[in-house]
Amino acid sequence: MKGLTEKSKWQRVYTIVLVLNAVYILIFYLLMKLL
Amino acid sequence: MQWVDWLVLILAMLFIVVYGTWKTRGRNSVQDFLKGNDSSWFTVGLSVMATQASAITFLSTPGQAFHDGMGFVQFYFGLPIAMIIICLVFIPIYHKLNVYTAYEFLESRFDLKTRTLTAGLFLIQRGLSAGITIFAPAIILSAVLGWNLLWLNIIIGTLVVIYTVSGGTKAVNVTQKQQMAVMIGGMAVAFMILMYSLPDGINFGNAMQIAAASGKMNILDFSFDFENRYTFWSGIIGGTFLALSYFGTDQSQVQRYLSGKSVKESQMGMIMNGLLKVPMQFFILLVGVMVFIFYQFNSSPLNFNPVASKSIVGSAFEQEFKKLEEEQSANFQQKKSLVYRYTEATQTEKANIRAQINSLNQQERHLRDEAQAVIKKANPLVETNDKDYVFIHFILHHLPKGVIGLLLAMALCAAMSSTSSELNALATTTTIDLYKRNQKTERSDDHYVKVSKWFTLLWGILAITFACVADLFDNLIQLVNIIGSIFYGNVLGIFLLAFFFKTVQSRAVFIAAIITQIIVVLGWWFDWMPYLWLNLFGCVLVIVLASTLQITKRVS
Repeated sequence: MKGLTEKSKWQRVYTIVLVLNAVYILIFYLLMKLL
Repeated sequence: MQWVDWLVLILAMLFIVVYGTWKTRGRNSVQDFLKGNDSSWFTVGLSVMATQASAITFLSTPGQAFHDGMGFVQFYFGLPIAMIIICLVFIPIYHKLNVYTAYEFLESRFDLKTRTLTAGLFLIQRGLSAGITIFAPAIILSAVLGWNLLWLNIIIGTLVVIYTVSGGTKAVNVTQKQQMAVMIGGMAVAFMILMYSLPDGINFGNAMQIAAASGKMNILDFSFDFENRYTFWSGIIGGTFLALSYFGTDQSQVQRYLSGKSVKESQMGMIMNGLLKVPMQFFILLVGVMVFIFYQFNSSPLNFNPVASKSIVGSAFEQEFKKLEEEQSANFQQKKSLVYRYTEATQTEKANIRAQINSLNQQERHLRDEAQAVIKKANPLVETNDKDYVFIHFILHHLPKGVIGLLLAMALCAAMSSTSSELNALATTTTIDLYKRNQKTERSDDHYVKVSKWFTLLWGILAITFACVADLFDNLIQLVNIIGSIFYGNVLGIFLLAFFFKTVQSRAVFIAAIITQIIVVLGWWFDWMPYLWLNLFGCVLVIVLASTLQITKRVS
């Protein structure tokens, strides 16, 4: 994240949190469908 | 319990108390004692998670999964969104104003009376729930282990008071690291043993298939059913709202992230919580599902609460209960053979066996409901809902020597970590928002540290006393939840007005808050809606009322 402003770094962190939680929900969905 | 369990339990408890007291010795400035703002993001993150995870999280959540499956995880879907809002809005402002409590901020934004009102509402609500945080695990442990409830309340409370009075916020933070390690370690060991206990020929994949066939893996529910408490939508919308009010305005959590050494460390701690909370809850629920699988191959009692089962013995309903037990035993044998067949069946056979397993599960649920009704007839006062007793029953009857001590230490650590945060926050709010704010002359640092220690001790004694008399009241835990719902919405509404409605001024907010509180209490009294919705109702009402009052004032 070199070269990014502090604000952009945090925006990336928040995006990662949201995306990762969306991935958790997707895994739960796939788990439900597969079982 | 064997001597080795006692050894593990006593050593774990003593180590935490002694370590917390020793590590924070000699700290005597208000900054150190009440704020302790030199924590890294990792400490902040663990502390926030340990504060939220009470003993009930570890004892009841597996029982919830045992009975109702994994759907409860949806309740936490809104939490990461709330964490981001707190990082973006709440933390920078709290740090900029260098506040000790969340309510201090309200004075700089509105006025003293709004600050005192919200601090007072917090003290009532959190003061009551601190007693329940001690009482709830104590009553479960006393029922299953036969320990004296009164002494258990006093021991848990006293251990917490020792290090919280001695070391303040820093002691809470450092002990929560060890407590979190015991909690996660305990659950991991229980999970490993459950995996190891699976019968020959059944692996983890098969276990998950059996759980799914029994309806325990219905993790997501996208329906818009308001009667169903845990759906994807209630988790995302209601969960965000609840997490925002808990983490943003409750001093027991605000104090945890204000202990970060910089804005960045506090924010990273909350991000850690936002990333780990959903998987952690999923894991705790998965342990509950594995306990369910365990009892597909091992017999289980008709009701897991030993006090409830004992109340039948010698009563006029003993024969009726025995008949139900025989039916359950036959149901267990039938289901066990079907479960074995399911793992080896072809796809076409599976649908048929699945339907049979479902039918037997429904029959079992019906038997358990009937058993609860029979127990109620024998003793109307006994708790028949056994959700809280499922996991502890498994721990005591099926775990090896030493591990039982570790798991009991886990439950007590969870109770202690939440209680210490609560006592610390109660003492800080009393000292800063009530005592210090109303002093006419500025006193020395030493004086305020001493006062904070006395307030921590006082709140500790009150919490222990409340825990000791809690048994005398019916549905006390529900009552405390209702009190929380009555106040939480209003307080969150005031904070949202402070952050996002820049034109609304103090007079409008204070009048709106008073009117809202009266209306919410009336709403609860006349039963306008299920009490959990009072949170949202209070929040929206105070915002609408304050905005209307402000506009009316401007127009006139």
